[in-house]
Amino acid sequence: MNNVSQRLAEVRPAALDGDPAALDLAAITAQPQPGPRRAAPRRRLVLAATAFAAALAIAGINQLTHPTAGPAPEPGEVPHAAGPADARQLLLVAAERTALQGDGTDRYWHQTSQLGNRYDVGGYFVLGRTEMETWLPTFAGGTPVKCGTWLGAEPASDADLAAWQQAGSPTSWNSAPRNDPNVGRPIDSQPGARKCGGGPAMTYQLGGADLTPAQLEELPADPAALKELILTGEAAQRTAEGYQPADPARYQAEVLFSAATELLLRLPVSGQVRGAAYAMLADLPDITLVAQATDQLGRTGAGVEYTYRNADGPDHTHRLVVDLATGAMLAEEVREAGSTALRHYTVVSGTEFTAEAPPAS
Amino acid sequence: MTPDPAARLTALYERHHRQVYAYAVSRAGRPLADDVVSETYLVAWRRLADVPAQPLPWLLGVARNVMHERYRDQVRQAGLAAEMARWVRDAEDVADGVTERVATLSALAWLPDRDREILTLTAWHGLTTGQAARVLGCSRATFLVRLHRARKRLEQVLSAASAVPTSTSTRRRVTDEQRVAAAG
Repeated sequence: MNNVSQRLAEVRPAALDGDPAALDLAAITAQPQPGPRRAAPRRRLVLAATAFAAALAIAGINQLTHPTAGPAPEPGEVPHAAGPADARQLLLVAAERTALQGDGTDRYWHQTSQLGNRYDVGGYFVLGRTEMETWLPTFAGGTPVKCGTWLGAEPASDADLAAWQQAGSPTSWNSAPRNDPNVGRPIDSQPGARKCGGGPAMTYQLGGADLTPAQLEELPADPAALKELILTGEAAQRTAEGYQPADPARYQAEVLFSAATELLLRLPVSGQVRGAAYAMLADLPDITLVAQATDQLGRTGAGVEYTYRNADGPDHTHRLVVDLATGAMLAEEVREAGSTALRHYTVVSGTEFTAEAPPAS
Repeated sequence: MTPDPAARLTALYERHHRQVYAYAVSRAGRPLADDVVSETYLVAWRRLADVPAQPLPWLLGVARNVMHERYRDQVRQAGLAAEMARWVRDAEDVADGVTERVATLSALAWLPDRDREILTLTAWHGLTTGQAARVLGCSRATFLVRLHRARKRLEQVLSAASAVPTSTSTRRRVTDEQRVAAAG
């Protein structure tokens, strides 16, 4: 590689690896497939920061309600005043407790959650929220059912509130900077209707590998074996793409942190595998503990933080909020490194294995 | 290989959407990128039978067409110009050893868009010259000739810039407006 190419490669902007909005694949695959070599329609697809938040934005604007404080933290959620001494110990406690729950043999993983995303609306930020209810199949050929309700949006912080008022207190926005109506997605301050859809039969992503429901069910409950399986799958994927991380040890830690988050927050796996995921997390370097963290629903738990880095230094910090009483993962929050402003979050309010999913309507 | 088309699209998406997004950011800026990804996968769905075994160059080629067909070139260029201005600002915000980074990104911003496209396809998106040629729909030989010329021009801009006395207040301050004008 000559000097110019090398020099160019070194200045590759971190923005290229930013967070793409999740695509509503169900909306795409619901389109007819006209067969090869037909021009694509110029339909503007609805996009969302989170899957299925997609179709939820609605017109019909009345007023913007001022952000209200979340409910007070429920007492007794953190069981012991003298909690674990460090993140590692805390995670091992969670591992023990979560392993007691659920064997994952029921057919669907039913989860209720709320997703929040901060949008740049030009000059200030608003935080949009979506309530999600999903049924993820644990068997081959099953299709997921997902229901979403747009809960509305509001200025993200006090500073944003002031900027919003100065901007004439609009009740809807466009997610693009400078409010260019040609780009971005519309964001409404008001809640929308609940919408449900069935997706295509799914595979589950773990550490860069695609796993079928059967493979997900066979994940090891031994932390070392789980770690090895994730790293092996990821390495195969990476070799296929010819990617060599600059700092393999840190890269590996990032892969494992991401995979553990997926296992604990989003994937239909048994309590034993969740326990292994916690134990795997406990052994990661650079994990820090926030003794008491409150999630976006006002629930308290212990916070575990990890900061991802890019070539320019710390990039964004992920905080996991863990309920020590049950070992359940309550939330994931993502902030710019060194900032208190939320970029996006997920809070899980209920999970269970159930026999049936409702029909997607 | 996979009989179920929806599963196949999902796999295509999960494997490559970040790369398509990175390409879209590098060609049109972040505000348009999500839309480009969305349109690209809609096209992929409708032309699933055409997707080759090695899908990435094909997907990027589709994304490229989407950008050209969907947006007036001015809109895309303005989006990209604003994006590049942000990269330069971000580079300036990091204290140490950034002069070269700022100079390289600024030089890239000054090049004709065609050159920028050729240079970044190989340098930023991990494509071989053969794959990059497929994205542009030209032969590998043609691509290599264009790449050679684009590198020469970048070198010229870089050496011209380094001949200017380093005054951080003038050379490094790059406003969105200047970038838009430069790219325009």
